[in-house]
Amino acid sequence: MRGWRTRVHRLLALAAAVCAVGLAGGCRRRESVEATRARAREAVALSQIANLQQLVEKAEAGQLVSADRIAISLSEETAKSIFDASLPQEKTLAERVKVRIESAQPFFNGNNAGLLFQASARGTTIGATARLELGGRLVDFRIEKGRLTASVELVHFKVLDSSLGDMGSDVLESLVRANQPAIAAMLPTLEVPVHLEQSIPVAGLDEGVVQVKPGVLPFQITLAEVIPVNRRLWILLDVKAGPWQAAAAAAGAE
Amino acid sequence: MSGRRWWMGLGLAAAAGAALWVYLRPAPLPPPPTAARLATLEAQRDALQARFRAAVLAHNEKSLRDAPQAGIMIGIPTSFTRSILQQVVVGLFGQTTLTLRNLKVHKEGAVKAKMLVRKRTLGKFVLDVDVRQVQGVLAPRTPTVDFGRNRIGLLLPVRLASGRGEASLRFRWDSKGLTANLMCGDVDVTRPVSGQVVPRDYEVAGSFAIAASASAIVLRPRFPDLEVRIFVDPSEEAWAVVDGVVRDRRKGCEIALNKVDVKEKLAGILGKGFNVKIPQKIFKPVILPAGISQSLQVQGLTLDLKVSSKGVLVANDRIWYGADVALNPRRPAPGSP
Repeated sequence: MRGWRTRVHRLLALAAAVCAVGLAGGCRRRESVEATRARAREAVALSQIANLQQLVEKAEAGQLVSADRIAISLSEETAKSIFDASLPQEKTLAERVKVRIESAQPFFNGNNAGLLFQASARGTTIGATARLELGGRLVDFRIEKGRLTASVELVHFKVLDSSLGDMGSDVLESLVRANQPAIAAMLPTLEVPVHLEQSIPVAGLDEGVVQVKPGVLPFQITLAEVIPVNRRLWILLDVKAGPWQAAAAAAGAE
Repeated sequence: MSGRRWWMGLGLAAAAGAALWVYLRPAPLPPPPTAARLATLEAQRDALQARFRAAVLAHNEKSLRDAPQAGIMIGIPTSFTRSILQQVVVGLFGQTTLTLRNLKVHKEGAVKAKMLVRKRTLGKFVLDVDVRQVQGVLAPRTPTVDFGRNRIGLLLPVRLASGRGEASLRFRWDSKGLTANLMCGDVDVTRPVSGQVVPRDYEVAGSFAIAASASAIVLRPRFPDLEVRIFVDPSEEAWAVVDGVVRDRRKGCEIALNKVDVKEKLAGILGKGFNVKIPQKIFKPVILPAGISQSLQVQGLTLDLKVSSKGVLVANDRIWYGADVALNPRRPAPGSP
């Protein structure tokens, strides 16, 4: 009996040794926060340069049509204050980790509307904590009922540090990855604080001798182009006014 | 399994594991970019952004350089603003009707003629024109719009294009003296007459002051009242009616009445025209369609915005409006639980 137990123990040790050596091959020591950020900055800058080269060519060739378009521009600071006003947002993932998005920083540069959210995570059972960075970008700009809005798409996330060390950070990253749609839903949308009227109603006049029928001048406003550059988000809108529509005389007469 | 064989197995397993590790291990990451490399890339990016701005300023957006710098900037093309003003003004004037009702014009006098040795009064006439209605319709043409520093000038050619007038003409004749009474007697006839409004051209000149309200650019009209004079040209039928008033009398009477010259008197009355004042309030303030919101709805919350205008710039290509916004404390969005 003792021999059988020894054989089993030896086989288990053999299997464990093979697995441990093999698995070790798939792991890598986590990089420092600084190194990760430097790589991200490099990737972003390279992408911005590539985008800008195309944009500059277009602008220098006079092909950037903007003269007959409404231009709306939003600074990074204003966008940040709008995002931050809706934060913090908090959500529990898989009943194990509570993620809280604390603040946002927009970056409108190089034809790229990027966003960096600072977030924290806390285990619901054990008190482990971690700091996260969520990277996103503004997409799907649209005009709805006179409001100009954009959604935030989650592009990447990174656990910056964890009270459980590298292994805890890896586990947390896996958890966040598995719950990416839930985290993306926490990200606030951007409403650009402008209102776009769909028509101008003009009142008529009934002065006895002079009668003027009221009317409405409708507008067609559609999104033409979004250019994040020089720390501002530029939104160009195609606009068309008219034709004038006369209304019934009694409707708007003064 | 003997101890020796076991140790051989373990050695083989270790070798297999080492081979597996070599096969599976990820390629080592290149060293992260240095601060100098990042600075170079970001300087290259910033230089491209500066080139982009210069190209935009040179080609399309000359006024951008002077636009009020603020958290939010809105640039509305002057071409679009011109189109709005032209359509609003033409739309309003094209729907303008001038209607005069119940105007009464009274004229009376005596007709004298030399009878044998001295002049004697043949009779007295009274002519009452009761204008039941005169209606004129305006037809504007495309206005000229020019952009000034803080104003938009507008010159609108407008024609009093068409219209119609309807009146009732009452002519009374009171013969004086026996001879006149025998020859003519008294006359009291009333006839309907009509005519067409005579087209005339006018120009409306004024301006819109450009001002920034808390949330938008407002164009406030500054126009004088427009004085329009409506002239009515009696129709052929109307003249025939007047002729009939005289022609239907006896011959001696016709001579006396011809001295009254009803046609000339009627033409004199209508020839003065009728004044109509189109009040300046026909022009309404125009709010340009892109402005700054007073509140935002974010994640089910309504955020009040405090808007501080940073000014308006009227340039050849755009009207620029700049404002900073500050977010006020939250209140629940309407309808939210």
